[in-house]
Amino acid sequence: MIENGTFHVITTELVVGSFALAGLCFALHTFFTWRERESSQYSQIADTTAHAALLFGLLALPFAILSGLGASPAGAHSSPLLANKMLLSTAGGGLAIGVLYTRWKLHEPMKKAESYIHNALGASSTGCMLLTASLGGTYSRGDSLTEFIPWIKTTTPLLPSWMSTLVILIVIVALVLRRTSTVKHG
Amino acid sequence: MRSRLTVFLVLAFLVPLHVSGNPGGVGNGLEDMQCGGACHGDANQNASSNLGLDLQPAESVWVGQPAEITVQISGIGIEHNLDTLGIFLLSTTNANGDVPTSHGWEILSDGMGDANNYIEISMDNPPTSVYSHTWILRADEIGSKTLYVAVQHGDSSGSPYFGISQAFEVEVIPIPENLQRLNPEYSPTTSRDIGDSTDLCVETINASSVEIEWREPSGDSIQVPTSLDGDCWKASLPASIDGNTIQWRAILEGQGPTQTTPWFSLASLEPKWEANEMALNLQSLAHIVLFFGIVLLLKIPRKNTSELKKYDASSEVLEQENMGPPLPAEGLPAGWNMEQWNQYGSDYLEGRL
Repeated sequence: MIENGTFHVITTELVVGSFALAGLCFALHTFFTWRERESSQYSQIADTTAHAALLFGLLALPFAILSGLGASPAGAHSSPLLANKMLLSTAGGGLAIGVLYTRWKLHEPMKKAESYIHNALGASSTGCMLLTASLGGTYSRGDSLTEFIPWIKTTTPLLPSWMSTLVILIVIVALVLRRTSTVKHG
Repeated sequence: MRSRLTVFLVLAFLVPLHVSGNPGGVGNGLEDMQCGGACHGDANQNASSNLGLDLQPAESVWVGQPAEITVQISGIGIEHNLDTLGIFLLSTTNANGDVPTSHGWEILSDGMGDANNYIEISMDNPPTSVYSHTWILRADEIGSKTLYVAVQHGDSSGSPYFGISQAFEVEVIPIPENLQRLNPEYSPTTSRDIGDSTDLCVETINASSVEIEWREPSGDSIQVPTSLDGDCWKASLPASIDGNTIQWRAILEGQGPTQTTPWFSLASLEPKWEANEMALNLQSLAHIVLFFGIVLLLKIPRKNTSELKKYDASSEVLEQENMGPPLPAEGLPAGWNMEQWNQYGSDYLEGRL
């Protein structure tokens, strides 16, 4: 039986590797989009690879989160560092789901500006995941990529339950309103 | 373009990798020997530590009774210059299931306010080249048991080192039937919050009287009053105003020779940070929904209204609807104006007017 700690290391490596590849490909896609005349073929490859890697990382993410929680006997709520890891990873996960969903739904080719925004959001999800994984390095190496955020290991910006519920409702309402207000053709 | 990409990838692979240990340590915990330098690292990169490793069990290790197991690490600052030393107490060297709790031991205290088999000690200013540390274990069965002490550390070069001792045999013997003792189910408290006093309730068997005393490590012992309440001897240990560790022990009188328990460590710690679990889970869910929503709201654009205007014919339709029928050859009927024609022209032509 694999222990949670061991499984967490494996799944974390999968998530980090996949998201890092996705982030690199989003950056390359931005570059190729900028130089579209010379590199349309590479642009398509980078776009496909970025989204495939993002999807793979996203599939591994729940296993990393669950095994991470299992490896911490007291749970994520017992340490600000673990709580911030959870919040950062869910933020990155939300961004990744959104990026994949819009790419799936958007059939026509993106305009340049749209493509830049899309790549920036994809790269942001990579950033969140790398920061999350790096925070875990605090346990093993005593430092992380988050040294520029001094409070992240000691303080968690936690909202009250009602406010989180309100945020969820507002976003859902905004999405529903957006959907119903869009002009439909045909 | 292809050649530039190839050069970039080759350069990326040629970036030299520096292998080092875990300079920040991995934190105290229940760890197998597998963790020796391999917690988020590569065990194959470990060099052999030259530190001397020794283990000294208590004189008599009674079954079901706490026993001191002291390890000694020598050669600090001589063999290696190190800032953090990780010490393992192990029961096998299989690299899996090595924690003494897997082989009939219960860890009552690791001397650091918890019950782990792996601890990390800061060696910024080591007082001597020999460091001693004591665990309190309890064996659950009679017989011979094996323990090992292992260490992991870095040195000034940052390379990881690992060392493990020879096997030390510990003979667990049966306790005489009427000998006064601690209840085999009793587990001492190992930590408390700074500023809190501790009420002890020491459960014993066959003890006619119990004295309890405490001390700061290596300081003079101070006796506290005890009273029997049901099955346990009660005493109160004073609060600590900072994060230090005190030790306490019980001296049991009864039919047999006086029995003295090991010194139990009681660490005073900063109150533990704890968040509302429900709020944290809800906020995590809110993060997923919020960031998913942000991407969607930023990404799926509304149709451009100026583009729609090109196809918007509603004004023309309205205009046509407001226009009357074509004028007859003779022009407007006498006395009519255009507005009346637009409104009633159709009726005029059909002869209704």
